Amino acid sequence: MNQHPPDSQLALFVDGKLDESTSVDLAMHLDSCPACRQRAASMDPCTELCSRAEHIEPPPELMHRVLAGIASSSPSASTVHIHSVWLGLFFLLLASLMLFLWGDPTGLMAGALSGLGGLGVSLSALGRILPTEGLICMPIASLVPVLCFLALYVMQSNENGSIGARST
Amino acid sequence: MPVGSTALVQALHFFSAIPKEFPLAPFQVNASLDVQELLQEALRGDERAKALIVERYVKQVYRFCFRMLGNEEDAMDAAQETLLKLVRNLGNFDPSRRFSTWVFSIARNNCIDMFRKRSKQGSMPERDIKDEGPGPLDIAEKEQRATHLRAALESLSPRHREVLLLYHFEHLKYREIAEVLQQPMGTVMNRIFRARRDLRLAYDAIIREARS
Repeated sequence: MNQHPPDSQLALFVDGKLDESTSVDLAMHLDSCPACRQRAASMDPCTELCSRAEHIEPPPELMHRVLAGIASSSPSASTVHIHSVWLGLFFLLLASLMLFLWGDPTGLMAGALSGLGGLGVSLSALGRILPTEGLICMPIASLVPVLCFLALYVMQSNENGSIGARST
Repeated sequence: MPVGSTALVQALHFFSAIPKEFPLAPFQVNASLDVQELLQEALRGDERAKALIVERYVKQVYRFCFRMLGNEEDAMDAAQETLLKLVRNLGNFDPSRRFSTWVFSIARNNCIDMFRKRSKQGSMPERDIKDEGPGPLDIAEKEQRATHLRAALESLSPRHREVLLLYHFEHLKYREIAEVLQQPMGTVMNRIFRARRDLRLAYDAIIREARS
């Protein structure tokens, strides 16, 4: 139905006196035409009747009960974050221990790899909360241990070189 | 500003933006997001987005359940169940549907379950009719009208009551009601016409009874 129905037809519609297919066509029109819907509402005694209904507000405890239900039923995202961060810190600690115990290139490499893993896990945990910034941080996290490894390796080489020079 | 300094400033800005209570508090989503955006965030596991969806529909759901069931206790239970189901089944939402019609479908099913439970138990809880205490005449009259309307609505069959609630109280369109009820438009139209007629008859009968 493209045209707006006349008042007489709307009145018959509201009273349910039109045949089913015409009623359905008119209903489809009313769904897409707020002006005609308004006209039909003004002819419908139920509109006025229903406007007398009391105002109903949900009790405040409903919201609390629902939120408590959600919290108890879903695995907490924050728990996942905490686990990820602890795992990251564990890797970082492992990296520090390796660097401390084996200050040779192999140990440095292992330490750097552990450090990379640790930072990666920690920052991916961050990335789950702050996706965009987390993505920016991932390359930084990858670069930092590599740079540390290179710096330490160069220092180690210089030390060895100087020791070697002294011995000669 | 050199490139290095800019990167440093950006890094500082990033770390200062992390919530202080990290990692216990999730990232705060914007409350002004529309339902589709909130849905996306909630599906990613954002608890705040889930809470915002609940907050957005709690009034409509409770109001519908209260008018369907007629008392606060049952309405609380049905509304709570509806909102929990809503959040737990967000992944099952069909994006081709309107979100609010999906919410009302869940609420309606819960109300029907509640009716079934009541009929099995064979008990109908007392209606929560507000005490019409002394007060200005117009307020008392308004309250009386509302009470009569509520009684008239409760005298209708659940099928007729639900279509009236969805159309006249929740202002859904005809095709949305058909979607909620999962019925053809023709069936919905017939139900609405009969429900309107029955409501008027019931209301008039209650008024006559009150006057006599």
